[in-house]
Amino acid sequence: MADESPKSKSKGIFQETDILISAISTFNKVDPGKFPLLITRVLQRYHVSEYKQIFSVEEMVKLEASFGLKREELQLLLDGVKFVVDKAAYFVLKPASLSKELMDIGLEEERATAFSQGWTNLGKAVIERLKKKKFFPVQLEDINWRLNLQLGQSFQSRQKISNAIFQLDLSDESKPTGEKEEVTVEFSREELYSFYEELEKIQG
Amino acid sequence: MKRQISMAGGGLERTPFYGFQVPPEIKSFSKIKKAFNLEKNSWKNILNFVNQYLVEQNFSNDRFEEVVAGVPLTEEETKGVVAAMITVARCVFRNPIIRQEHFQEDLQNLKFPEASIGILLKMLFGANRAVIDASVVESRVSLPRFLALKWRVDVTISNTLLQRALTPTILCELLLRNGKSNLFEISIEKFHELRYNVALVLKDMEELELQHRALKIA
Repeated sequence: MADESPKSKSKGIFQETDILISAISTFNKVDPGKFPLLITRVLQRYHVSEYKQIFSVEEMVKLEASFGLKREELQLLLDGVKFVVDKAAYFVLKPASLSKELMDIGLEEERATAFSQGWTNLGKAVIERLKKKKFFPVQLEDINWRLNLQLGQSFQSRQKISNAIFQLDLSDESKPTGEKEEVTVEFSREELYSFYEELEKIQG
Repeated sequence: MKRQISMAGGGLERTPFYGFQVPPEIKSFSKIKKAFNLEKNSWKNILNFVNQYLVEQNFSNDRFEEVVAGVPLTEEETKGVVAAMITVARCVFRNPIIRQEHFQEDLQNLKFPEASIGILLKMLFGANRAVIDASVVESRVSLPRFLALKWRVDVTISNTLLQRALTPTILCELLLRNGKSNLFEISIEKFHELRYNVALVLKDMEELELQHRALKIA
């Protein structure tokens, strides 16, 4: 049970799991001069980290050399930084609170400051981006339209019927090819007006 | 058949409502001798059927058989009569500036029975005409037409990524007349873009209809 372990006494945001403890000690081990830059990099590329690795294979090799770490240790380091950012974003932590929480679980002050510094600079952008993240797979991407005047049709001439054709491009994340579905809708004036009324209701 | 020149009204030449040549359906019709002796009731039956066909844009076999049963004509002959009447109607629709009196004259020149002329006039020039026109417009060639928009505004309080997200989103279901429906989400920015564009098109549409009312496509 988790309570048995004396390590999980913390009532703070970061629960002291074994993995986190290891990550913290890795943070504390690495060159303090290079640490802030790493944090900045992770923050900058945070939004791609959902489906892809933050760093390419070449970059990982360079980092291994730069920090003097083996691949597994480097991975732990990066996962740890990302984890901290996840939590900071989730709780919308202030930079000061972030460094305090980190120090509470054993992070050295200098490194904690590196985190809060990076968070001060780039935290807002990360949160804004997260707020924009869409959960519903089908999204309206594009709106195109065309206004026509119908002058005649079979068995009827001399008309003046206006109609509008809207093409709505919908992206669907659940579709593997990522192709967009084009929905074409024709509106008469009355129909367009009804549509507009609905939009006005939404606006309200 | 030679073009009939109307001698009334000062002997002015004008094109009959059906154009320069008598349509083949009308030509065949004038060969159906029995048609010219039909009673008013029979004409009512036939022309009611034609009217329904024009309004509904749909030829009902059942109703046609009822008509055949009710008139002293064979099925072939009834078909010929109905075809001619539909052709007459279509020629009138193609020719919106035809005057009632001229139409009547033309029918008389074609030797249409008086009983039929009276009913045709009422059908094509009376209040009923608006009904036919409306249904023709309704059934025109078109892309899927808009039926309704169902929507819902949600405010996300929290999600996996953010404890306090408070982001509004709009979920829409667009229903079309062909039965299809699309469910999708619109971000706030896209919503404003959509609303702006719809308003723009509506404004243009109104201007267009005003302009053409003034221009009058001659």
